[in-house]
Amino acid sequence: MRIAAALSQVRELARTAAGASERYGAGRLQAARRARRLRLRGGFVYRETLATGLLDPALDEAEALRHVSEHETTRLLDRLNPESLAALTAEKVIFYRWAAAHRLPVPELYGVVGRDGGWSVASGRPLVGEDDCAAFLAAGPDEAVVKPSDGHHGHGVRVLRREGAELVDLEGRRHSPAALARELLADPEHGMFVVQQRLRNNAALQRVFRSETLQTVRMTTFVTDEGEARLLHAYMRVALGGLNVDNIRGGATGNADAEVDVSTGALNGSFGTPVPGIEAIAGETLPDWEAACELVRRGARLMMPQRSFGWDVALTPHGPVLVEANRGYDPFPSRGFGELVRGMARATA
Amino acid sequence: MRIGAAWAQLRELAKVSAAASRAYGVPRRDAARLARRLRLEAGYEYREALKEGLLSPDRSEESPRAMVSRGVRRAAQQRLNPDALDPFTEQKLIFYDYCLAAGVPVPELYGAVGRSGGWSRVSGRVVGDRDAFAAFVEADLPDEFVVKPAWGLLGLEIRALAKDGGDLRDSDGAAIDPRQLYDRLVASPDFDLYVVQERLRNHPAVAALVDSPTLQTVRLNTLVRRDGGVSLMGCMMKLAVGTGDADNYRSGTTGNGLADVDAEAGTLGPLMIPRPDGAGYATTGVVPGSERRIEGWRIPLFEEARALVVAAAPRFLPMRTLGWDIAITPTGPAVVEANNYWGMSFTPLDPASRALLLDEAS
Repeated sequence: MRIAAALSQVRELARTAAGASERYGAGRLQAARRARRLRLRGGFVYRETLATGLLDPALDEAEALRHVSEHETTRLLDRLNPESLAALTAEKVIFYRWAAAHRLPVPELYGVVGRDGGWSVASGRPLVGEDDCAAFLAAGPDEAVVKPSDGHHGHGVRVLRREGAELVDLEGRRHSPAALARELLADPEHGMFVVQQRLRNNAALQRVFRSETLQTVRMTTFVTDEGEARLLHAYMRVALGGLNVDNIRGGATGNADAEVDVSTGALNGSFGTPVPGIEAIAGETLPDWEAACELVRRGARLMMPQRSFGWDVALTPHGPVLVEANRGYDPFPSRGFGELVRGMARATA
Repeated sequence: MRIGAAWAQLRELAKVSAAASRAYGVPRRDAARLARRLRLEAGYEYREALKEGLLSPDRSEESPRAMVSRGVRRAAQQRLNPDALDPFTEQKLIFYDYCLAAGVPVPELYGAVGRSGGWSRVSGRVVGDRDAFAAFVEADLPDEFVVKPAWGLLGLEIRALAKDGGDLRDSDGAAIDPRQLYDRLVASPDFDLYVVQERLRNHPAVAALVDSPTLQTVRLNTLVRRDGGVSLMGCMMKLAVGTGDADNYRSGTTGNGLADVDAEAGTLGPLMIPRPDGAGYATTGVVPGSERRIEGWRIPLFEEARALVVAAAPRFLPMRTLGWDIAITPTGPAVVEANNYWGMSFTPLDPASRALLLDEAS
């Protein structure tokens, strides 16, 4: 078992080094050595070192080590956020009902569909079986988002619009309501899906990003011992990949992320996952920034005794809306983010 | 493995039939045959049939078949309630916080404390060590409050506490320093988080019936039907005539009893108290050791309690069936807990409710 794990690590290191060599034109051996040092000293896994740009020879290695690994971030968040409260945000059926009860702006919930249970908000009736679910999807609004109640990183999200009797997602897949109901009920990974309002980007964002995909800001909050909710960091997830979602997934989606100056809401020109041409948006200021900051600070206080969250906030024509709250968020690849994670660790040691 | 399990079942059957024989004076073989039939035909485990009193020769064999065995009931509940939503009701910090926000009356929530975190809902401050807990008790809590596991069950580790000088006093009169209490809570191997909440008191009419400071609750089970309407089934009142800080029945080990509730009239049937030999229950029309009549007694504010659960049940969809523990307090009914795997001993669902539960779960 140990030998198999070691071999798997060696293969991962080889792939990572090859990827770095291809991306940066540096030698494989040099990239492999650096990836190994980052793993040993900073807790970064090999693919993380490549995905977050830490193998770029232009980046000083000491500077790279000031970034924070997923491992170190997760270890802190497990301490700050009680595991027994994880379902409040990890299970979106609970999260959206909880948030709506607290009058936090979230996408309107139309219903729940799945083999484990279903319900139509409009009729107040449970949805039992394929026929009920198909009828619900057929009678729904012209646009909707369907996503796994227990999903993460945007996996399984479908942004749908009605075209005649069919439902078409942003990636061009077409479904009849009956076929979609069948597909959702047969999903091997997810027992429930929420069906909710499709949010739209604020016109100011639309002018800059020109994408149908909803763009969200990831806003990281922390509540101090005194109960003060602070916004520590923010970055804009720029959906350029033409997908249903704006998630980054280590650069696999073609989407990018751009750091935001939390005091002004302006994109500060620092990009976590660079994409060609992205530099043009530096200096743009996000709309309704103060309202978004106040929203996540309020959400953070309501989440107590969980102390740190990564909030996904949509900036819509009607103001900021909470799309998700993440208790185990990924780190942003920057020195500043590393410092703030270590700062939270020191404050709560 | 199969042979081992079969032997274990046989041994259990032998023990149960021996206990039934001793309790009721019936031949072991007759008791064993009846237990076997109930297992095959209605899904009752041997021990369950004994505890429920189903092996008594005084009960007709039709009676247990009109009831729902734990196994059959649980299978129906599993189909009606998504497992993934268990924390919505079972994690009490999530549950109370949601109810408070949604306008469902529950005990006021003062905060939470435990080895995985803590905070005062009153001040917003973190309660992360013994001194912070002592300050929380001193500054943020009223003279009486309750501490209970956020993910508890069966009433375990529920503490009703009162301030007494610098100490806290539990319902048995034992004193404890707040810092010591904090140490015990964070050292618990079973529970990582406790909620700190308002101590509810019984409505004067309830207090006059039972003459006990323990909070008495009514169990009202709801089912949201396919047509969106809400049905009540198997209503009971848990009467704490034993000791302890909770009225939980815990299979009869607490000395507490149960009484059927007529869901229309809100009146109680006789009190059912577990027999000391574990074979079913004894019934009495009065509170033990008194002449206060239980049978026929009407629960105060019952209409309001019923309206409360009928309004609250749809707020937890797509969970479709919940067992609500309702306290009748001087200021009105309040939800103490909601249970997704509800079930009460000696609870014969009427044929219509039984049919409804099984049909809706089919």
